[in-house]
Amino acid sequence: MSHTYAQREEQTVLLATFRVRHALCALDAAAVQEVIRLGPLTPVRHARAEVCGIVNLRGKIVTILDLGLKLGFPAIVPSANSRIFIMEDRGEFIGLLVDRVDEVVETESGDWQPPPTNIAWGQAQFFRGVCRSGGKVITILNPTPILAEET
Amino acid sequence: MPHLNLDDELLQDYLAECREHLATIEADLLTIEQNGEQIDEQLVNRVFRAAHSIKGGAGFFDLGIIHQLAHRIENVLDLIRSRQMMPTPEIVNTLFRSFDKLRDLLDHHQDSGSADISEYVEALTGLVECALPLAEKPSVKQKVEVPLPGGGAHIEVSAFDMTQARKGGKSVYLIAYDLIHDIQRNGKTPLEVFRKLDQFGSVMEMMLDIDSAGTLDDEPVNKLLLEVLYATPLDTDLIREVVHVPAERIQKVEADGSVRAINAPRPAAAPPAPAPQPAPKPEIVAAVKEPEPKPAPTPSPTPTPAPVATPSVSAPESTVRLNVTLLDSLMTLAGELVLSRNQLNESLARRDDRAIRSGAQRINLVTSELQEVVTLTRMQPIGTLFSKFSRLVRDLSRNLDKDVQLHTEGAEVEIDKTILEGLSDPLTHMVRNAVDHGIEGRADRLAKGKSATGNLTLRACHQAGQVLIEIVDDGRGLAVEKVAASSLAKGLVTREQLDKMSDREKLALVFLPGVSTAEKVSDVSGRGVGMDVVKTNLDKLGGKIEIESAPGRGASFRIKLPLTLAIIPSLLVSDGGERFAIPQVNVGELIRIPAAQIAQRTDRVGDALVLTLRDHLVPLVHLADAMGTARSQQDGRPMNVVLVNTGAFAYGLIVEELHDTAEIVVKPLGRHLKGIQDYAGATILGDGRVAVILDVAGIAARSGVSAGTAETVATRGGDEAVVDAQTHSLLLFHNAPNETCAVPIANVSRIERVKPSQVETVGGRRTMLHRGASLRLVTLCDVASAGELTDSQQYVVIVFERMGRPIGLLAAEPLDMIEANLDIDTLTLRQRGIAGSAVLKNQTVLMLSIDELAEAVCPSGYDEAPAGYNDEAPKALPAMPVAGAPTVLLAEDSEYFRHHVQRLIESIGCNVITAEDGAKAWDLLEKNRDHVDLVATDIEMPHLDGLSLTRQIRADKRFENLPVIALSSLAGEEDIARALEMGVSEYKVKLNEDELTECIRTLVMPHS
Repeated sequence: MSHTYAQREEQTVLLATFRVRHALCALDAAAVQEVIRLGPLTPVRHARAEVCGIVNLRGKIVTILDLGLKLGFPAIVPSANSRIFIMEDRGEFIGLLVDRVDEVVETESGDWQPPPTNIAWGQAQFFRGVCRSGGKVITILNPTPILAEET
Repeated sequence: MPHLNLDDELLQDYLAECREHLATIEADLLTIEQNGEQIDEQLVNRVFRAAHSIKGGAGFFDLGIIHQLAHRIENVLDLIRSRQMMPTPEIVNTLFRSFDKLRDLLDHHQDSGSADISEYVEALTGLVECALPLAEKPSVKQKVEVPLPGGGAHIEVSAFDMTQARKGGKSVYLIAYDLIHDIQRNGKTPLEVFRKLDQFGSVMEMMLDIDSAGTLDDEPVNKLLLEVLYATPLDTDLIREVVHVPAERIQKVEADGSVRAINAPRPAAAPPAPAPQPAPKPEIVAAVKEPEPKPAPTPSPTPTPAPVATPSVSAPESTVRLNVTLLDSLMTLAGELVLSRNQLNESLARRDDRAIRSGAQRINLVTSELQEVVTLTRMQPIGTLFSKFSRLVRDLSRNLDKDVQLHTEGAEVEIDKTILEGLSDPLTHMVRNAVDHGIEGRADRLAKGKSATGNLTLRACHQAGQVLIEIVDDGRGLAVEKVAASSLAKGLVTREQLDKMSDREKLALVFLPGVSTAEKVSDVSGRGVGMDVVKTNLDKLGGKIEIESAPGRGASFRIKLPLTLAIIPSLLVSDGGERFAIPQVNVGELIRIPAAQIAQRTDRVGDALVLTLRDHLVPLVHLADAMGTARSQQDGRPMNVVLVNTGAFAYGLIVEELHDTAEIVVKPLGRHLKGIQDYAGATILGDGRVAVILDVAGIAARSGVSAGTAETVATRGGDEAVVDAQTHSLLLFHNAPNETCAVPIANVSRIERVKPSQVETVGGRRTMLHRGASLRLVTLCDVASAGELTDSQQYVVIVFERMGRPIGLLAAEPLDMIEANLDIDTLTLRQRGIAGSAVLKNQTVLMLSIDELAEAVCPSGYDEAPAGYNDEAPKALPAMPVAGAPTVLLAEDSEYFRHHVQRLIESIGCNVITAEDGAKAWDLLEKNRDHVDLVATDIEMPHLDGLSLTRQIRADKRFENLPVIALSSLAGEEDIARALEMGVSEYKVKLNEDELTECIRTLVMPHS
């Protein structure tokens, strides 16, 4: 079923775009619970490098992952523009820290292209594809492997 | 009723009910076995009904194998019930095994269809066969076919069932219910119908007659027949009244399975209705969840039997049953919360400070109440766990050829679900231990003059906001020396350490890994693994365990558990600007080492930093090191050490700052953080930020501290630099502005707000009219050099009872109540009326001495006792200690309490000698044996505790008649009983001063 959907031209996907370092990345907006500002983080020592800490999101303890590190870039430097994308995965809220949010764009899934073949092998699983919008190339991320606890 | 959809929920309900039935069965079966020939019909009936209802449900859900097994069990129980079979241990054993299998099948009901139960079926059938007279034996295997009216299909039952059903003058009928016309159109449900049927007899078998609906080729017949084989004492006339179906659809079934219409004439008269069999109660049917009737209006082309929804893997404890009133109160509270939020929002918009405050207060109240009620929803009676053990004890004692009787008390005590689940393993282990090597064999017991049957008691009760669970046996007891020898042999303790230990401390060694007292290893226990695991498990639950043993007379294990794990008291500390929570159960004491003493009190052994504490070396771990952060600059600052206890050993955690203790809500960490041993979870602090909760055992492991390197440290002692980590409940108030004072809350009887004008000065003394009498008032500045109250302050009067009459302390708001671990400095600010001082939130707090204040204002204790107050007043004259006055030896490890009680005893004219622990007290007693008239001792003390001291005193001829008062901060009945058993004359709570002084007076000053 999903296979046939993916091939249909008229499937419109809203993408929430954001910057990780200079790369313009995107997640399916429907998968994003909310976007919050980077507040006070409680660091968790001895955790994996990409875990930058935990926060209180309305009474839930949410683990925040550094998306930069996860994708193989240098760590994200917290700034006033830093944002956290709250995702839900297997019943748990997990936050992805990004450098700054960009616009939400409407794309046709039929226009997506496979990720370039020269992406490092380990990272390929994180990318669903690329698309163009307004003259920019957007990398569409695949949340499931990114939110998985194993690397 | 839409369609025949036995959804998952219904199945889950059925499974839950089966589990409930199975849970009660074991205890009942045991009793049945014990009763032997004295068959208690009601009891057997209960088990029978359980099997019956499991069978019934299984029929509905098409769980054939479960149905079959339950049915065989039912057969056996039926024979027992009708006294055709005696419940011998062998039979009960088979029943146990079959019920076990049944439970197993229910747990894996989705695979039950392919399970092999032939072994059980054969065993059960065999039992039935044996019990029957020879002629009837074959009936067990013979089948009787009852043809259905439509022809073709038939219902098959065993000849035995048919015979049993027809016994006692009962008749068997085949009733054809039309699910559409008889049931649905009449506004009934199948459930109601079966409930009614079960009132007057029992449903043997039922079958949906699919053929009756016809096929697509036939004329639509618009009916769906459910054929029910029904055994009842009702005769043919009465049956119609009960079943409400047209007479032509009721047929009488003969023993050979042949059927005959009930309105047809019959040769012999119907047998008179005999005493009806104990009618199975409606609950049987209640367990059988209501099956939805077939879709009806138009006959469906191919009606299929009830499709069982694919059941999800059943997680045994994923649902709980709740009392509806609890849910209602939750709903009410939720409503309250919404209202309060609205009120708060509104006041915020109006910027009305007063309203905001009251809104916040209301939310505060609602939240606490909500917390309480939600906690209640997680509570389950401990009896569900206790009942497990009757079977265990029975099986074990049979294996070991011993007689053991299990007694349980307090099964109704409720405890948090999580704790209950975690308690199962440790309790099982201890019960095993008790049966295996606690309780002796029959011959041994008789030789020792005990009853042949050993007794094992499981007892639960509430005590001081905790749950106390006791496992008591009357066996041979735990041999202290064997435990000590085993620990010594394993190199876990040194000879010197052993020599210093009290019996209780030695017994506690059994919790170290590898220690065992069993002489030979058995299947059941004695492999030297176990008690340490028990302890670890209990530690996880925040529980504490103590052992007491009377050699030859038995042993008792006492477990103290918190009511819930979701909210725990914790100590908050910080290091490098980050805050951490340490569960209070892990915190032994707080030690602050002044900068000047750090070098002197800490040493390096190799790489390791150690602290010398009461002659023990305690490994120290920098929290910063364990967390991998930079250590803060310690120079010139005191070192804060939290002595933490992992259960197996203790070590010191050096932290930068110590904060308050707080009740924190434990939240789990996300899956990315699972498996990090240093953390036990996280919590949200008052400012909304998150703090991680430290797992002290994990940190120890990371830092390389283990039981091998850490010595067990004797608990709290009189070391001066040691912060007295006792929790004080204090009432805080002001004297002069900025002068904060505190008194123990236990001393306060009432607090009243007064206007300065209410205070009168009569005869140079301040008084006020209070409850129709004149109340003597005192202010701190009357007694001590302290500031005076000013008129601008809001006055309060704190009323104390002294010698049976009230005294008011005039003080000022703000008032506050706190529970805190305080370091009470009894030197710096000590003066008359002020017992000492402590630092709380960077403020010095004066700890007032009520005794001295009271004494100062009315030294005679009497002079102005108003009428109505002195009637019962003890005849006491506070006097200075004089030669010839009685001498009291006071043993108390807490410095604060030692001074406090000393002053109290001196105030009634006794001399007091003090000691910091039991061992010192004993020395002093020996030295002053001719002078000491009474010993007052704390219970919990290092080196030699109060009870051991008492035992030592009682064992000595010289002190046979010396009165001993046990002082404690708690008084549970158990504690008192224990103390009295040791030979204590009186047991008093420290803070109940009047009672204490009165008691001392009675014991040593009979003349006054």
